[in-house]
Amino acid sequence: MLTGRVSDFSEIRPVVGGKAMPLVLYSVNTYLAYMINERFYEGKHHAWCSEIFDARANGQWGRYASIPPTSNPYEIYHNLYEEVRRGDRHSAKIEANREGILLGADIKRRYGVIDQNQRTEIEEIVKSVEISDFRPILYVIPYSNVVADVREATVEERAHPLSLEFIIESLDSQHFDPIEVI
Amino acid sequence: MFEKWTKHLNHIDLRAVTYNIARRIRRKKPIYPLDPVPQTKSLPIPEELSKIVDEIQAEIEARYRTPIDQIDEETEYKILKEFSDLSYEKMKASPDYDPERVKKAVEAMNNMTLYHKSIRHTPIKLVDDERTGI
Repeated sequence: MLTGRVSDFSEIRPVVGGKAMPLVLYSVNTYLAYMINERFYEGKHHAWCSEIFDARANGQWGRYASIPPTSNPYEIYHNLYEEVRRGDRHSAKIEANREGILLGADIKRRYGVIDQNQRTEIEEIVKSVEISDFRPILYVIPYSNVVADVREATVEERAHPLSLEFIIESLDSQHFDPIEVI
Repeated sequence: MFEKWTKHLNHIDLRAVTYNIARRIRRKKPIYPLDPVPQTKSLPIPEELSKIVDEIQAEIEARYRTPIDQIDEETEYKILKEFSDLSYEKMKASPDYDPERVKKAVEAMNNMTLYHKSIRHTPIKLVDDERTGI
């Protein structure tokens, strides 16, 4: 955690192994996933993160140009928001999140985080809720809070081999702020 | 489409099969940020279910004429949704299914006190809200 007087960004930017790390990480999830994490997983969230909110803003030849739309928080947020706003019942993104939450619940059940009844409740909720509950939420995560928990995605995990992506397997509620941009 | 392999499974075993099919489909794919889990976690299953997964993989590869880990995204979700819907139907048909449970679970979520005060804590709504009166 940060201590003492902070006079400029260079003093608060975390340094790990001599390398300056991001000030903030951004991640997008759905409201429903957020609520399920809070309710069933003791406020622990799985976050796929980027150190930049909108990679396109950095230019065609910038450091973040290789981050594809599927990993760019702004585009994930915007595209999902549009599909929810339209109430698109056949949205692949919404279906993907529905299946993703269920697959996540399978893991949590297997690892004993939830019991079978809770697993069933999650399945019932995920299959029954309205599309509006899949609206996007942006997680703003101060890097200093997660230095010990964050790792860089492996090349195989990334949407693009040169993309800069981070994973936090168990992000505590107290370590980020979720916001709705619209 | 996969009834031959799934009709005798209960919904819990069917979820285990679904998870392992998803993992095989995504083995060589990048992680999807909104659905990041299956590439990274292995969930071992009993040999009997593993054999079923093998047979379903062979069926998928024959049907789409492509290795399972090269199936496109649209087909992937069509397959996963089919398994998911099957397991949901089986769950609803099981003797211990309680139709009131989802209402209670949603009510509990809506009454939660969230750590984050800045988020719009809107009530989770069921598709058939009007009929259930939630």
